[in-house]
Amino acid sequence: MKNRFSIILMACLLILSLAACGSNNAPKNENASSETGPVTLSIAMHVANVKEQEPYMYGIIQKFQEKYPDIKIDLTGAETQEHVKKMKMMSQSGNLPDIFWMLPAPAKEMNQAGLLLDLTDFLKSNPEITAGIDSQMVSDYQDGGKQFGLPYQALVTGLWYNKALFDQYKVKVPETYEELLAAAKVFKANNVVTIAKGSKDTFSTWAFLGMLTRYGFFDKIADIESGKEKFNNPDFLKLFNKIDELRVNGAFPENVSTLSYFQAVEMFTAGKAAMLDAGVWETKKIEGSPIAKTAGFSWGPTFSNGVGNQKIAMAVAAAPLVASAKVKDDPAKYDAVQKFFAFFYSQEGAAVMAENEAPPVVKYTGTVDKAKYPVYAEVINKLNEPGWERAKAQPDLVVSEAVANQLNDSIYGVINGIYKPEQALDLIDQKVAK
Amino acid sequence: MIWLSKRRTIFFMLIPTLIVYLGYIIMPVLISFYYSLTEYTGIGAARFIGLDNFNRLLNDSLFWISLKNTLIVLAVAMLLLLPGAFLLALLLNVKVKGGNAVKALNFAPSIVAPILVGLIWVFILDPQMGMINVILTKLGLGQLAQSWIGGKTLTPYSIGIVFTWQMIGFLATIFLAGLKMIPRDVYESSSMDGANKVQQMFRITIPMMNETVKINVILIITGVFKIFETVLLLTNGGPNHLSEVMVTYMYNVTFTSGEYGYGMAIATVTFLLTLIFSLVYMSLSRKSIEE
Repeated sequence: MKNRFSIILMACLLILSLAACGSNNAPKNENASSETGPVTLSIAMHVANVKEQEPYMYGIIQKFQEKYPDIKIDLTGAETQEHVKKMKMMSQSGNLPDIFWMLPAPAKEMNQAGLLLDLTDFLKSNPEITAGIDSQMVSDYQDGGKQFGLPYQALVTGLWYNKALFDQYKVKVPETYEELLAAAKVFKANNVVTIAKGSKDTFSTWAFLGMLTRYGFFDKIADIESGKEKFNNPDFLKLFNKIDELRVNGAFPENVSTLSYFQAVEMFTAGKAAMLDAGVWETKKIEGSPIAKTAGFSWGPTFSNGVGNQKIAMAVAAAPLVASAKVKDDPAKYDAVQKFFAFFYSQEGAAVMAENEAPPVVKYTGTVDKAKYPVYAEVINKLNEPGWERAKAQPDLVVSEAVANQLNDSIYGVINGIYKPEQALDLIDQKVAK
Repeated sequence: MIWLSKRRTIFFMLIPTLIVYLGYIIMPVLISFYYSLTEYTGIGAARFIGLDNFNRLLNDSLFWISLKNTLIVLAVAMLLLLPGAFLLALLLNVKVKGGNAVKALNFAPSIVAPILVGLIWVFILDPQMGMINVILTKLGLGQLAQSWIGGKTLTPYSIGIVFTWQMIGFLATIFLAGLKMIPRDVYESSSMDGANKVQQMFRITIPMMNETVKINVILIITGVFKIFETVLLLTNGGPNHLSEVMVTYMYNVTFTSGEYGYGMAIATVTFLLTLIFSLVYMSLSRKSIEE
């Protein structure tokens, strides 16, 4: 009897264990309905705390839920790398969130694997949105005849500067490389960091990627990828030599190798560095810092030996907001996704972005209070400055993740004094060849 | 309760554990090994490429740097951590007033999250703002200030010291448990035979601690081969991968570069090396006992 009891007990345990290990394919969202009633949309973002780090997205979601009380949003966030990893894993198990942020290269791969919703119909049925977004930004996320995403935000990057430090040391805010080098020499002599940077986060190379476009990156990249041209070419070498020259002349923090990007931002906002390599996502932080009234934004230096037009502004599409192809299986959810995209790219959405000091993706017709938001007003001024052509994209967003990683790594290799310029370029070529 | 001791019952009772072990330990290892034979970006289908990833490893200078750094950390840990933990255990074994509080304090670094350990040590080792260089400079010994982290050479040694700091209390506690297991009468009878403290140490304590030493050595080997957060916080493998250890390099390749197949090849090699080091040590220690 005892034996039988033990066998039954073991069998129960086994069944329970197997049940626990089994995959749960039932819909997570009990509220989701294909007929009527409330719908829940899952949205996953690339920052751990969306409310704090992407306040405009959080604000848009709040306003959207007010407008559509029947649509609830389940918002989750994770740090960028963690988020990308998570999305890739979820794509394998067929459980992608309804809407999510993604890096361009893996988003393209997901599209090719048939995992993303084609937004072509959405654009056709919302012509005012199509007209409102820069056409280059829209076409950046087309592949194989599909519109696999839309720009989540405008990526506006360059060099922030603290005018007070330039005035104090009687140095001109640089417009050319020669002026930047001259400023670096003066700042070095006075123990001031010229460009705050932290190589612990190798992704923080935006201004230098902008400089790469001034050496003909977009004229060369197709040939480089097809093997006709090398990354280690005379033009790119000129830029990498200049980065090395800046290093030799003490333009970067001495402990650049142990600083993180966030520490570099702190260094700049505390008034300890003359410039910061970053983008407009730091507007709010700079606005709230002691240097708010003297902070300015530039597109970075132009080069006398550059290639083509030197007045290229890095104001491009950052990364796409995409939707899972599965949402089309549920008409109510599909409708909710369409509504969310329509709201996000509406003037209402743009107004929330502007309130949170982020440059709207769509052409925004509202105004900025210059007295209240001097830093943001400066950015908007810069965006409207005539004579500057917009880059096609940010260089690291048009190559594979591996090449992008090596590109950042090579730039920091020269800044850290670990790689010679030619060696740094050869390493990118090796990655392209793989 | 005789039925409980029957082989068949024991086997059935082990099944749930076995399933969990197979599902969460063995299966991921096998899956990783499979992906190490493919070219895979983490999306869509993986392309089988045989041993190409392993061939690539042989010519990857960054992989060899990460292996060298891991072995440096292992050497530092073996030289400092193992004898250090043993000496600490001997000290903790002495009965003094407040000894329990000291034992608790000694264990404290082991319960601090590795990510915080990294953060704490950044403020100690950073060449510019770190405590060590600041103190050296204030004492007029600025010429002794070094790039403890972030330079080209010292980082793996610094990581070894941080690892030692983090693990010493834990290993000392295991040694302490081993010391407590040695019967007191062995010492008493040796004293009666005229043995002094040094002789007792080398003839009784150390030989009788053999199994404990073995456990601690295995813990050090497995601990070193999986160091991750500390390096991530101290240097993120930089500058330019010069301070990568095997797991951080695997993480960088897999998740930053999106080369999942190649990353899994590094993970497989790391797993195999851990296994080989542990097995070789166990085999050598068994031989030395038999001799």
